[in-house]
Amino acid sequence: MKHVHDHIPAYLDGRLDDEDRRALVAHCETCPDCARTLSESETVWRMMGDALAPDPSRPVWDRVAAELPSQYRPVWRRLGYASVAAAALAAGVLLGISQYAADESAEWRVMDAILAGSLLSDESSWSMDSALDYALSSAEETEEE
Amino acid sequence: MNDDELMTLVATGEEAAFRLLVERWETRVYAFLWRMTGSREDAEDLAQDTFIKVYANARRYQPTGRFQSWLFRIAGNLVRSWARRRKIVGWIRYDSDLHDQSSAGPAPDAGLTSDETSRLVQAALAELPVRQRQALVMRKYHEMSQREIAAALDTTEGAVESLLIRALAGMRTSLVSKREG
Repeated sequence: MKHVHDHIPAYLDGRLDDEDRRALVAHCETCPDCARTLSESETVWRMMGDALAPDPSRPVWDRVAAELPSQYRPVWRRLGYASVAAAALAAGVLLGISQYAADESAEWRVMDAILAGSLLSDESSWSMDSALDYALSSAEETEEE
Repeated sequence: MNDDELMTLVATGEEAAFRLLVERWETRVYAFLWRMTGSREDAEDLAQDTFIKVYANARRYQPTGRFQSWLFRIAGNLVRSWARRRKIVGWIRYDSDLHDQSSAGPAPDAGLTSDETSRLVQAALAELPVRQRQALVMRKYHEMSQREIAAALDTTEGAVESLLIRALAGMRTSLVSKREG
């Protein structure tokens, strides 16, 4: 049998079948070079097994959630239900929704903001400021039209 | 719900599904990256980047039951970029640790605490070329099959075996032969 160095990784992680394992061990009993390589490899394998990895200092999710690009997130995930609904209503009051009553497109803009609020389910993922911005920008777009 | 099912939801923007997926894999991805970089800080940064890329590329994922290979491919590509950047600024920080330990005694692992063993193993891993390191870490610590490793490294199973053979030889040189010599 030729030297068995190339089969040692498969031997160590259990990918050799019984027959090949027996052949490898038998070869090492008669070949000092391969026996030394096998012995050293077993030591390395054991040391690697003893080398434990640490846990992250804080959950990876916390960092991921904080950095999640907002452009990838649908608007109804970015905006909180309560905050947007409140902001939309506040915007409606602040801007005097009645003054747009005659303007059908303006009504629809404000209704958009309220509707967006009604579709929301994650109240914690967006601030009141952002929700207010959203509602106000809807109304402002209307104003510009 | 399996990984493929979660990824299908992630592709539609389901953040709750994404969170489940991250929490399922974050420890393993972090451990992989820590073993690849030897740095907790870098591993945490790269783990974050890995999952951000998963989210951004969710629509491209083909749900064929190979999520782990896909995930580790993303992480591995980030490690290679990291290694290139590190090369420019001056290579691995714990080389000196290895040299400090190199005359510690004749038996490579005799009497070592687990911290010392971890440090020696990490230093030896750091001396391997990145792809050898990736293959060995995936095989040893993540029990990935040759096929899964090949998919993660975008190579053949035969090439993976070759990487493992060379990686193990490198580890022997660092951990055993060098110490005895």
